[in-house]
Amino acid sequence: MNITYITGSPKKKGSTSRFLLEALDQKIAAEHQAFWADSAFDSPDSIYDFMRQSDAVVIAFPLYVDSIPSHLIRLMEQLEPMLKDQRGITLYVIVNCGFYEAEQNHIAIDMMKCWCKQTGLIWGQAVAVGAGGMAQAAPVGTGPSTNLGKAFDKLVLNIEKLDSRETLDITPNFPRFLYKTMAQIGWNTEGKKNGLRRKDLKIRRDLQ
Amino acid sequence: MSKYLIIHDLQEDKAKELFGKMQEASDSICFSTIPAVKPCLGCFKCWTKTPGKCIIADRNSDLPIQLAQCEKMIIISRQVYGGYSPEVKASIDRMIPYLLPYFRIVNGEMHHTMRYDKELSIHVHFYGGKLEEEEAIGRKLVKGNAVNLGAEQYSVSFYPSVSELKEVFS
Repeated sequence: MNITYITGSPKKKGSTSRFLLEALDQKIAAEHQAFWADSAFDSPDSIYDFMRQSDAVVIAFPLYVDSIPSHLIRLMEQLEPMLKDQRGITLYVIVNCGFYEAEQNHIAIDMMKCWCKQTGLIWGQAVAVGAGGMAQAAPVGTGPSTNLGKAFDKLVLNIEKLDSRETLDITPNFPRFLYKTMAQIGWNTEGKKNGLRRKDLKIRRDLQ
Repeated sequence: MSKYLIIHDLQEDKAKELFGKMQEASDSICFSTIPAVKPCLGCFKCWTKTPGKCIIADRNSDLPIQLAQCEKMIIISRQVYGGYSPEVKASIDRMIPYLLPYFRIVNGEMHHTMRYDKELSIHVHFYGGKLEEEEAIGRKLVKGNAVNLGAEQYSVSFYPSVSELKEVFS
């Protein structure tokens, strides 16, 4: 089978979306050819070219302000007329958000389902990932990403059979209060690297 | 009169027809998202390097600061897959420096803490949705935006096409 992986992050390197797609691809046992596309850097024509040759398409993206990042919405609209008469491609989606609760990704997933309806794509399944900020903290399937590994095992089986299934909501094997505290320490550390203290990060701005 | 921030993706003449008088009558800000501004880079420097301001220096970079000075945000957007058009969304994605990077729990869910201590209401007008389910998605999205931006009140309405929009401000 042929699979197109589309990274939906605007980041060129180090994105959680790309990390998750690579981890997923490693789990696929079936013989397959993988096409790798980048939503922020590849042309709609070249992405369509991969998609039309594929049985399954997997898009992974970060949640931006409760929904899909703007550059990815634009790409989806550009692909819509090309995919209108396309049949036999099943779409799988992985959305990750910085918030702990995986359910906060559901609006973006519903939007992807609308995209399927307005194109010829078949809806496959979504994995909603909470606490995306720590998704790269451990290999998928270990430590805080144990639940994620189990969900990916299910997703892989469905992709291999091109099955359609309900959304899988994944929170990490890590308590929320600790995630919240660690995020706070993380932001303060990043600020310090730029010579800024906590109170500097909290500055209220006025128009100049 | 309370100060408005209007963010829209309308053609210039349509925007003038709808908000021309409102702008003259107050010091409200009317921000056209056409042509679309550069998308968010996901770099988080608006939180860790230039707190409160996006590092992309363009006409969008002051928008979160302008929002901090307004009591009402009005968004007019073509509805795409239930949400905002890519043009409006590009501006909204770059609104995150309005918030702080830190987390708080609201109604049992994690959200960002507020940078500004102020009242805000959000009013969204979607036009041109194509599917029946887009209305439910739009309602959930605006509710989510209101919680995330710390808005006490919100409203959302739907119009079949841009021509019906005149009723909004009559």
